[in-house]
Amino acid sequence: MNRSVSTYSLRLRAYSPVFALVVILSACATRPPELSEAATAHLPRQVELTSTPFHPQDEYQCGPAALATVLQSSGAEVSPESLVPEVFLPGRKGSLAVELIAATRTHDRLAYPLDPTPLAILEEIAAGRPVLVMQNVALKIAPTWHFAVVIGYDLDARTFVLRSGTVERLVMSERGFLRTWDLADRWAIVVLEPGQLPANPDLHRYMTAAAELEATGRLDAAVLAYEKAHEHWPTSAWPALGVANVSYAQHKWAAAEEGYRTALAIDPSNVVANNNLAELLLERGCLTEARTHAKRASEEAIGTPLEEAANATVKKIEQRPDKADTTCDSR
Amino acid sequence: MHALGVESAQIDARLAALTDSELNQLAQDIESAPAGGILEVIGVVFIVLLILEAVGVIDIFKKFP
Repeated sequence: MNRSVSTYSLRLRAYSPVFALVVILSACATRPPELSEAATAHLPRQVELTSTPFHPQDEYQCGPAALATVLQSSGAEVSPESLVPEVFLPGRKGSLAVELIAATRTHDRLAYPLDPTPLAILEEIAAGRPVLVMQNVALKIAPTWHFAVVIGYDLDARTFVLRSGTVERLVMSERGFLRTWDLADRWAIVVLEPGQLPANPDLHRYMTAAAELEATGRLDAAVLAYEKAHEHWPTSAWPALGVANVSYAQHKWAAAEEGYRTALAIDPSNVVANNNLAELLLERGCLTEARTHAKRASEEAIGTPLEEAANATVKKIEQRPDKADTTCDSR
Repeated sequence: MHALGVESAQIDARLAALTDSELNQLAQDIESAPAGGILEVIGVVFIVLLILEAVGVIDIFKKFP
């Protein structure tokens, strides 16, 4: 293909204005290695999520408009107007990324930050999910920030398709898009229904997002995310621990106990699971087993920030007036 | 948030939606963090970039070796 392009250029050399145009066009076509043939071999050549809703933005309100687009695509019932009071900062004439993520959680969706590579965007779109991106559409020294939704790509034409501002179908050159995205530190998220995994899931990042759902009180959504994580990463104790902790917070004692036991079956040395199970067993009056887990927790916690809490649990059990077990079935 | 024009009734709900570390982050840079908001000017900007490139002010479009 390169050879035919250069032969073509040679023939056109006499026509200097045309030649100059060819040079500009081909100069725009250098491609980042992340999008090489080999790197994208597993993806369809073109995808466009044409059924993605479109909300032309009002003045300065690309944040609510773009967020409504991705939230609706994940099945949430929102509108740009309903999101304005949740994310728009009139004094900044815009919205902050951190508040878009917070509002995603408010609607019981998990905001998963993508790897900062164009390939990550392509993989999500190929999986059917539009990607919310931040762009700097001006210069590094004089930034103009913008939120848009990538809904398609064409690897042969080297273009990205976006729902952007007041344009329903903005086709940007690969280079043009990547430049604006680079200048916004390649910020990109996908909005997942709880229990849905991204195309290329990372345990730590997914669990962080799930824990943020839990921390902001979206407990049912958090449990669904933890359960999915447990299914996908069966060798990590943390997802089962997440399920257990939420169940504990919801006073679902049996589910909590089961979760802690599952976590300990994966990692018998887990401090949090041992300690919390000990607390649960103490409340049930199962002192012998509570003592065993509390001791294990305090041994494993030596030198960690959890040491004090683990020792406190051991002490609490020892201070209990009745030192014998009451009825302890293996629930 | 109040100073930036958010209605009092909304402020509590917005703060409650943030995690502790997000709250810290927001407290530090609510005035300076990138706020996405503009209307569509991508076409204009791209043309400006092309012109700047053509007259040699900037060099963002790499040439073939």
